[in-house]
Amino acid sequence: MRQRVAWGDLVLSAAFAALGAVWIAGAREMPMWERETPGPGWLPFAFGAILLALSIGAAAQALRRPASDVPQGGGRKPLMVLGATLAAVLGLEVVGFVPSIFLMLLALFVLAERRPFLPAVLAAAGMAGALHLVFAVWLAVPLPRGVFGD
Amino acid sequence: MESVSLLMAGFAEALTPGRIAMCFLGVLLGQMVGVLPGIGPAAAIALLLPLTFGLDPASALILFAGIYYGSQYGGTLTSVLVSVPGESSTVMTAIDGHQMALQGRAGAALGIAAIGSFIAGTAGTIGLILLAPPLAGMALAFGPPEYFSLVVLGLVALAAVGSSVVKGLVAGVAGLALGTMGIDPQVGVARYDFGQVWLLDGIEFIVLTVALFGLGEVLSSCNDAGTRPVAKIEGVLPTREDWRRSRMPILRGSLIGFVIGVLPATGATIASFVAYIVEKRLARDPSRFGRGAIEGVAGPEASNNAAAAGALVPMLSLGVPGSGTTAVILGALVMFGIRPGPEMFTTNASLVWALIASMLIGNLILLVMNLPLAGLFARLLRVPYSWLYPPIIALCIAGVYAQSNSVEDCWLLVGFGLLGWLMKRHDWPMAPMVLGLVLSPLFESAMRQSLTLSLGDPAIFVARPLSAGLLACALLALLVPLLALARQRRARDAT
Repeated sequence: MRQRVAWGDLVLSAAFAALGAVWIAGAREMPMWERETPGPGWLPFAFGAILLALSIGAAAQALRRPASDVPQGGGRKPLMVLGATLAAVLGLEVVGFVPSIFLMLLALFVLAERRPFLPAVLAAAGMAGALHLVFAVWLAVPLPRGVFGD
Repeated sequence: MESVSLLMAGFAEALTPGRIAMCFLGVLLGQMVGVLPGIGPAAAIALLLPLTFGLDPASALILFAGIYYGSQYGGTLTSVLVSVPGESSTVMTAIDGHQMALQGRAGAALGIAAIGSFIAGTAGTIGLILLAPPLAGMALAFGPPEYFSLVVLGLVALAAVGSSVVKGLVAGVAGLALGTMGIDPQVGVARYDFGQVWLLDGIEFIVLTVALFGLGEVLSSCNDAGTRPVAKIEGVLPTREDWRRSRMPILRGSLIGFVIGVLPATGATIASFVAYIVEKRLARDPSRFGRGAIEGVAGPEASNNAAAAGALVPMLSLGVPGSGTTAVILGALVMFGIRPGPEMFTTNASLVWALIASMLIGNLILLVMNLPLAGLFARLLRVPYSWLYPPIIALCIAGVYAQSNSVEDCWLLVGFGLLGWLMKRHDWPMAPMVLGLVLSPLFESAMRQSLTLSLGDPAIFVARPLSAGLLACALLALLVPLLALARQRRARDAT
């Protein structure tokens, strides 16, 4: 029987190994040791090296042992939800906080969850309005107003 | 005796109308967070941080601690009623609790859980009162090398309790590495800013916590967004027979939970697991377990609440958190300008004792709230998750933006949210990463100060007995799970 490769573990190991490599490269440009004490680059270098070594260990573990259980649920919907979140963040400075959040909520309610349109509009507007009230009015946080709001 | 008078002063601080309101709000929010999937206590506290900047530190801390132990109660409801544990520490409750619900005894299961949690939470808080001040007194002798070793122990212990030691260590070291971003505290050199001004402050722990525990959690649970069948609740007061069977499990669970909670990084999940196994071993008829034995609810429920109080012992007395949520509370303390550590019991005595007194009050509020109102909270479970998670994401964006008015932090939210989803999906622990980020500055300053003292000689970490002892404990924390795993594998290969 062919063993199932734990691709997720491999991807995460590679990502953390890359982080370790970036930290090692960055640390080499900083002073490592100054007057018998560690400089600003020493600890980041050590963290980078340990992270790289551990990530290689995690990758080896993933290759040696097959994935024990299949992750629950597909990846399509989470990626769609993440896409909507990213779009909302990109929209913060373009259309402003309230419209951007309203559109994200509406898209998630109607497109991702197939909720009826009118309740979805009301819920999205209510939530976006409530956040504006709490953050902009109550806490005086200068929420982004977008290119049209200035 | 001194503790009693300090506790009384703490009650005087905690029993003001404003603080009681904070305590009530905290346990109420905690209960809701425990019931709702997709948002845990760590993310809830991180999201509330921007809202609490106007509060005094004691009120904010009372609110956060309320969320922390209130969530333990809330997680029980979902475990019993729908067999979906709201928190990992209530996984064991689901086994017998849900079976009881299927037999029409959901009320009894929730009732005994609430009573057991109250007794254990109160006992755990008394344990905290007895243990934390002397431990803090001892820790006043700590110098930089001991702090270094303590952080190593905290991180290794937290990393070692997950499904894979290596994965836990990777997450912990990644958190430590991310914690070195920004201006170097000793010589002022900019590190890993990648030419971006907004990275000069490093990565805020709120951003990482909300991304991993908020957005990451939502992404991993949005696939299952429909309505779930919820069991009905009737008669929450336990019968005489229920009480007779649960008495000893509650007492044993309280003790087990507190001891395990105090140990760095072990926490409520392991405590409830151990309590369940102990009850099953001690039972005259172990076959009842898994089929609705009330002892299987009483023991783990008492245990996870006592552990929540126990986990505050290392946080308050040593400044080293034992879990993801206590790491966030610690980060919050730092944001309020309080230096966590053993001096807290002397320099911020009124704050610490007000918090401890509020925990006793909060446990009473939770008991009163849970016996008659369990049915009301259960209604939250009937709201389909598809209506809940989009607003949670909106709140994550608003909370992250508000803490430093930066859109760039929201990009980090998306990036780390993706990472959190992948980590959750493939069973990589996230708490060590947050703990690493929170403890990184303490770790670095302790290490550099120690090596300055010893003129660069690393032997200083093992030459001092306390530091050497802590490092030895860290080594043990690492070796024990590895040896247990090797033994398991040998046994499996032999069969």
